[in-house]
Amino acid sequence: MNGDNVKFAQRRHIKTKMVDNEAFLITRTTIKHLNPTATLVWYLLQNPTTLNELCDNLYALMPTIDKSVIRQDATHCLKNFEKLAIINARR
Amino acid sequence: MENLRRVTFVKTGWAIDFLNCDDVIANLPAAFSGWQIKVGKPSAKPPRAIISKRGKRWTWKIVDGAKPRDWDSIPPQSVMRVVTDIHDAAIYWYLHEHSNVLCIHGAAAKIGNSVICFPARGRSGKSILMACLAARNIPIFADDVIGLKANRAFALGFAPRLRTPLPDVLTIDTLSFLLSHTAYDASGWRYLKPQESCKVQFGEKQDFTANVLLQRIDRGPATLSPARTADILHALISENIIRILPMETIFRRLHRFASTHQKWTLSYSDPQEAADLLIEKFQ
Repeated sequence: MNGDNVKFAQRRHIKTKMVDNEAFLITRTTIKHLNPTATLVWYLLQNPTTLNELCDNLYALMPTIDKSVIRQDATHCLKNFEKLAIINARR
Repeated sequence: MENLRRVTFVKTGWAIDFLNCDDVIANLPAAFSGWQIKVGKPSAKPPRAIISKRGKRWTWKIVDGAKPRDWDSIPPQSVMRVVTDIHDAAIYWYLHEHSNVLCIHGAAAKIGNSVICFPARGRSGKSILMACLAARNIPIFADDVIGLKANRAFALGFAPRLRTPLPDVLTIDTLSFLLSHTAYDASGWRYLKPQESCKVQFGEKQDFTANVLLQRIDRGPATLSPARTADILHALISENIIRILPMETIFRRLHRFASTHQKWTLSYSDPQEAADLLIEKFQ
């Protein structure tokens, strides 16, 4: 997954409900529960964001966590979100 | 000579016609313990299905209701399989006709004055836990599928069904209860016969007290610890069977259900000890 040439953003028409600080995403056909890290990533994708920007934002929120771990988690989240078809990726 | 008989499910008005299936008819009440079943001759009213046996093969002809998904690809080879497939089809038929009822995979037991819900899928140990509760005179509201109607438990009236062989963790007392309260045992399944005082009828409604997540551990005592709404809701969503309602409605109703009752996680290695702990906590 490249760092700067693709912008990721939440797909429209997905409702987000928070329970115990974790997001439940309601689509037309499913309800998905996100863990705390994925919830944070989801919120940071409210506006189109590159992987590098996402990692910078996550690092600003969690400065004690190693940058390589943050990048790994962010990449993993984006892949899952794409698989779930809940985000758009635009060049 | 052909033997055509009609089984009528009095509470829903459904009928199934059976051709040469006396052994199936004889064992249906074991599964449908909280239903009224009448056996008679076919009438002019069309049945939901016609189930026939020719030689060693059963066939299921759809007349007015879907048949079990695997019936053609994996044909039944035992009376028990026919009975369990009718059991499963009845759940589907009911839900198809009552789109306002939410339904989740899980068990429910009436401990004290209200019902404890255990959202969990197959092979999670819930049926054995329910059997241990039944052996302690606790009415089992559901051991596989729970109906939720207006935030209350709605019983579908099926007898608890266990996989056999039974696990070797059971004590002599529990085993002897299960052996003496078996309605039908064949082909890897055992339907329990609830005690008269613990029978739950189809359509019976009860308030809930708590949602309890099941967590089996290898060893250690049974414990109950508080659970979060998000974890209960996650389990309810995962075990939700209904897909006809809009997802937002399902979420709203399950969220309400998850947040308005007590929330616990039950960790246990011994289902009998777990049953005792639940009774001590909720009775």
